[in-house]
Amino acid sequence: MPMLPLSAGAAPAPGPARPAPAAPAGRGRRAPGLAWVLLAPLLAWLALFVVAPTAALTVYSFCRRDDLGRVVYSFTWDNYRRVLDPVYLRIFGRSVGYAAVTTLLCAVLGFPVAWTMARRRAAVRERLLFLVMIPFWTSFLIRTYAWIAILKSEGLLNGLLLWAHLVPRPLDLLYTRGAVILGLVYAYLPFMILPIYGSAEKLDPALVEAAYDLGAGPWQVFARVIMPLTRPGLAAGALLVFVPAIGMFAVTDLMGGARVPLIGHVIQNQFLQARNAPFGAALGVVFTVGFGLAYAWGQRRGDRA
Amino acid sequence: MKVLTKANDWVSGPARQSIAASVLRRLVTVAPSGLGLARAGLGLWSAGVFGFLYLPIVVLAVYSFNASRLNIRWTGFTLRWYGELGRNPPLLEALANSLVIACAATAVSVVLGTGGAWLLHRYRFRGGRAIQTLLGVPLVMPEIVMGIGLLVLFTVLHVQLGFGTVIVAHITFCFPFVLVAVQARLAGLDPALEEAALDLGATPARAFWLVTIPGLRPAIVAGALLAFTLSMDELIVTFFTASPDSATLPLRVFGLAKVGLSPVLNALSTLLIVATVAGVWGAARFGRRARGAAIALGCVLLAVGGARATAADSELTIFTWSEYVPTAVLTGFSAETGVRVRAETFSSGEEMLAKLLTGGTAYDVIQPPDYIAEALIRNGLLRPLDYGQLPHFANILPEFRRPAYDPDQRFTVPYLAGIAGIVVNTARVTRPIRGFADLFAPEFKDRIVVMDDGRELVTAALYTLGLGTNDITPATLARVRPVLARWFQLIKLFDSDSPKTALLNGDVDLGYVWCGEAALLWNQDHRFRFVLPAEGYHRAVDVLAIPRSAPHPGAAHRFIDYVLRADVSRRISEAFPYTNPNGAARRLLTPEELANPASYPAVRPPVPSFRHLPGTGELVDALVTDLKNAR
Repeated sequence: MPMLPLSAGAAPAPGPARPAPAAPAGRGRRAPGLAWVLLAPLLAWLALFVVAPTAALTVYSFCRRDDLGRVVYSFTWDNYRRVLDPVYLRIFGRSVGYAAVTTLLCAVLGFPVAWTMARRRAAVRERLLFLVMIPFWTSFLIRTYAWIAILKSEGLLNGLLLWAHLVPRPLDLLYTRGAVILGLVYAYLPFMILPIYGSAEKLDPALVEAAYDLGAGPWQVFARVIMPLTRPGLAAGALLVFVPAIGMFAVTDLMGGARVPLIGHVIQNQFLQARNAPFGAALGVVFTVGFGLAYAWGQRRGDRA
Repeated sequence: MKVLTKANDWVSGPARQSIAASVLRRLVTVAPSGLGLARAGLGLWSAGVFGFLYLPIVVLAVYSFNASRLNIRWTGFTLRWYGELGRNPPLLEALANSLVIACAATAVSVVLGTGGAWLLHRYRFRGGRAIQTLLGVPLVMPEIVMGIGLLVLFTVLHVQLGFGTVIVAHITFCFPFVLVAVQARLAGLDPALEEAALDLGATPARAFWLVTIPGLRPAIVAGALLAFTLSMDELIVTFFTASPDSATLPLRVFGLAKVGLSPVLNALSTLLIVATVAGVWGAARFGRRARGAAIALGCVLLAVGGARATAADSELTIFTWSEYVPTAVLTGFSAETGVRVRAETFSSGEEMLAKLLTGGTAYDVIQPPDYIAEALIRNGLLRPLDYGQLPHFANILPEFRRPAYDPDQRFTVPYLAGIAGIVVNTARVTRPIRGFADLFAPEFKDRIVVMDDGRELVTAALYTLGLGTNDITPATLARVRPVLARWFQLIKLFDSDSPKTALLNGDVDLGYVWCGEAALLWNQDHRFRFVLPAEGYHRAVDVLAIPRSAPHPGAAHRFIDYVLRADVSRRISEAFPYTNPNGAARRLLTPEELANPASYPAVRPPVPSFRHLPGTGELVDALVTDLKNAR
């Protein structure tokens, strides 16, 4: 996203010999009719299954509800007024904070793994890729209960620490902020590793070697060669971790003991405890529109960079 | 230096060696150089991260051989759970459904995502930025919002819920992940390659297929894996878009938490992971043949899924609490009557209400809690029962007849009942606990679990203020606030689904829970004592009822009467040690079952119950959210 447009779109591309009319290489060419036809299924899908349900929920968010929780079609601003209540803004801020820490940790943990995998032989690479994902084909609930077995006060980790005389008595590991972050990082780590791998795999190892030959140290190679060339993958990974992590609640409830509310939990509760679908819809709409705008802004900035 | 790097790159030798081994080799061969150290460090780091990813998997695999049913303490080695897996058709069926849905959703997502990413990269579309933004929406949208939105859409379009709707929903949240992954790769792909192919006379389609796709392959594989994984593990969107026939594994698993996650699930997960790891390793080793076998297996799964989608002549669709109606009861009813039962489950009364009210599936029998049944009755959404068709209703004890929520006994039949009370680990807490005043004492800070249910907590606070079960008004909530604020400082965790887990784990010593949870604890260990709170308590009854729109009311009556039979109801008590309102069934219980102080506590009738209080739900939720937020 950030790097390419400059080289491919704006400047007249140096390579191809074909005398193309406008911008010959890749991006920037005006879409011909056929391209629209090819894009049509995607557009139809977006219209029917993304725009239409979002529109329905947006209508809900301006409605009232009856005592059963059914939507009554009479217009009100109340739901949006309530969204601006500091209580919900604070919950929102907290959720973003957790997601940001999660994204950072996933990047730190995941980048070396993606890089190492990408430097393997082709046959090994794809098998390692599968190995990253396979733990996640079981239900998150089963995995989370396994973590609880590890972290509980009479659990495996405390047992190990006590046995090694590293701590005098069991640590409180479960139902803490740290446990919430651990649950989030575990859930989203593959979503960081895979896109980075996609970028790192195509990086020509000769570039890295050239840098070493020219006298760069490992850190310089990383910062000045590897990082810039894998940035699209890192950006994609950050997007795929950060955004879903904000709305996560099931794992965070189980690992954190549901003591502090996160936005995903609060929205879920409007539908499934408070029977207030319109307010839940309003929270969902603000949440979705807010991040849609932030995403578009990020894209625009990326394109300009 | 260069030679060393090269050697190091390719010396790692045979493909089948483990990461750890190759890391060690590297440490030995290239230790002296700084570059080698960096590489070894990376290898070690990666091995560590893989260890992190597989640690819980190893733990759950070990526990699949644990003899204890509650899956918490190691009590001995057994293979029993692997045997029971074979006798659990609903679980295997759910796994097959999950695989079919995930495969279909992944296939379509890859096509949509890859094609879309390439087109958007290659061409400048009018409104391209808007399209790009819309593609981000499914990434952001909370699952519940997407689930309800799609359910509304399908209902408006009169689409019957089933495999199709679940697959459509899964594609919608999966394909943007493929698209983003592929876009990241495209961003650095040299466009000259494709141009060269075109210059050499390839058609655009050929150039795309022979040049672009191979170049994108790593990102496509990564995106497909992300999509498959998301689909396998999704819960909420699936709940709202699935029919009883298309329930996935996560839906079944979530319900099981209520009775304690059975080691059968660990056995299933272990088999699944071992099979896929072996498959991935084998596919590389045996190449084409293994891939052929995998495709054949996929086809068999699809065929199985398709075969089950064909409906029987007479059938019955029931919507009940997860795992609350034992499988044996459903198969017993089918065997006796020839009626095929399609069972769909929910994990909270409100969840059931939300799906029922939106429509999409027509249910014959539902199982709401009493106060939701009352709301449904008041809104004319239940069908009056024909008690003439329910001869076994005579088994119901007098104290459970003509309840407040159905005063004329016209719409409901009680299933099981429970009392909310205090459970104490008497091995850790020696002081006598009589009520909430003793429970919420400073000395028990961070040793308490309570239900994550606003109304239950508010009601407990009302009791301590000398108020009644249903006295919820803005004025009384204002008095409740300081009480709950103090309690919330002491509570370690909120959990409605399985508070027994934290108690058994020893992470907490006291709880405010449903008596069924306490009864399961008592069965495990008699040191868990159930206490009726001195300040007050209430009973909740789960009932069976027939919605007004039920397509098969005749079969529904037969099912309800079957459940009322003493032998059948006794079986239900065996699986779920709540209070059984069926007098004839109670006479069949063992003395130990009847002596369980949590199943049959010594209550003083009349015991109050929750009433339908319009408009209070959001007040209670706002109060609890606010108080939790203040921590």
